[in-house]
Amino acid sequence: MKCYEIRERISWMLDGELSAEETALVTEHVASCPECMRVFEAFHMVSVSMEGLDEVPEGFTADVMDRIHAAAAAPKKKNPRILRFVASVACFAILLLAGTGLVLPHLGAGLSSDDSAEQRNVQQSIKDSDADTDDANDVIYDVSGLTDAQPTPMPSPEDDSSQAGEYEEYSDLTGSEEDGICLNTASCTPTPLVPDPTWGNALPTDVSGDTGDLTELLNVVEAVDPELYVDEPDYIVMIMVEETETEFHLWLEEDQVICKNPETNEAWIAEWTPEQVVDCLGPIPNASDAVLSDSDTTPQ
Amino acid sequence: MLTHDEEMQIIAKVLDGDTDAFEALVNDQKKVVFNLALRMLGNEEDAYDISQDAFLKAYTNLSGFRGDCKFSSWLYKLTTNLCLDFIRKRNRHKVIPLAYEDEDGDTEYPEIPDESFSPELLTERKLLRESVRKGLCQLPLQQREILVLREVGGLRYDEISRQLNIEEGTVKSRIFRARKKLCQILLQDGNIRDRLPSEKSERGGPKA
Repeated sequence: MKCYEIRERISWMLDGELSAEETALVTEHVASCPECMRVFEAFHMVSVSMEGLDEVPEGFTADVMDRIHAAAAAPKKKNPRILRFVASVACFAILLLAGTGLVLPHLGAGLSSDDSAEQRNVQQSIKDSDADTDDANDVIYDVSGLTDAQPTPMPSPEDDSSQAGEYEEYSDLTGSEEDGICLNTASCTPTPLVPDPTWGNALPTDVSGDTGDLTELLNVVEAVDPELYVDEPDYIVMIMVEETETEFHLWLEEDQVICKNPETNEAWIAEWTPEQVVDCLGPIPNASDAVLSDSDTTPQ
Repeated sequence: MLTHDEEMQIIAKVLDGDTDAFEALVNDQKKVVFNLALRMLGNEEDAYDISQDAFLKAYTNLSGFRGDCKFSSWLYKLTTNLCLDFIRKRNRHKVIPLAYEDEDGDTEYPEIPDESFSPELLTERKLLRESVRKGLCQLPLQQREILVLREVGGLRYDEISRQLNIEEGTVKSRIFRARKKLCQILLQDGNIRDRLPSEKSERGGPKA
């Protein structure tokens, strides 16, 4: 084995993840190779240095339990992030919901100016979770039943709302992932999940009445360090870029939107404001700590 | 440390409404969680706050924990996530330093180290520990996270693979590169230079 192969394995060996045979090989090599021995000693020293754990300051548990009791006692908020798609919803573009792996139905063509009105209907129905006209056909995605302070009990078997994260739980929908998931409604035909050339030209209406182009998300205001954005994004969107369906991740911050291309590992501050993103894409699907009040979900 | 079964029993109780039962989980895990945050963030105050946040978030999201992995693995990943969020917010107004390429040809971004370390250099081991912690804060976030989960959290490769949702091969190589990088950083620290064995080129050395 070459030295560089040995040195990789030194790392694995220190973590106890090397087989017995390879451990013997590595040990033998290191014993007679000063360079590799130095690597071993260095790695070992680093490990040992990280072993010692500091004591936790006093009162930690009491503080935590205080906060938890306070949270448990807080009044339950109605979850603003239940996305209910009623039968009357016609074509509506896009969305892989971050974290849920849920593909919202690609129900046909992208947005036209008519459809932006449809989109507002959907936004409205997001808010009116009491408007219960089509119960049998409603598919309720409780994508984040976790904003309540009280931990919610595990869903019972007859509860068709799904826990955030499990894509396979949407088996009650017609179609498979390859077919394109579609709501089980009469007014909607399953459509294949193929890139729609009009996606890139989705025309949402923002609060000021101007139309925005989803592709403006790709305009770089300023590059940022992609290493800062490695956790779960607020949104995952598919945008047509030069006839290629490309995946982008979005993080909403206080006053800016961060867009990242996971494939090229580039990140930047995008041209849209957080408000514009929420207008277009709806509230953050799986935010457990973002606080979007109901009024934020209804664009003007 | 609690066994997996004991953890699940406690969790069941909490979900049933027994909030106080959660305290057992806090006491069991607080040392590791605090130290995870400490290594990620570089100072005690922030670590204290964020590790508290981690337990709070674990409590409120408890119904989302499916029990198919260890509670501790889930909790540790939750902790490092909060740390990453915090670092990101903290760095928002900092100038992004120029990227550089390391010897693998990877683009690396030096993390601006937190200056709240003031090592009392009483013993050599303490000196070393402080230097390693300072060095950790200079590791790129991804490398820092994985090394901390491995060394402080004690997670095995398969657990890390699952929590970070990456292949085990990626776990192995990322940890290796993290260690290499950390050693390089430490070598630049004059205090350590003489004590730390140095690594020469790792490809085709004289004994290859």
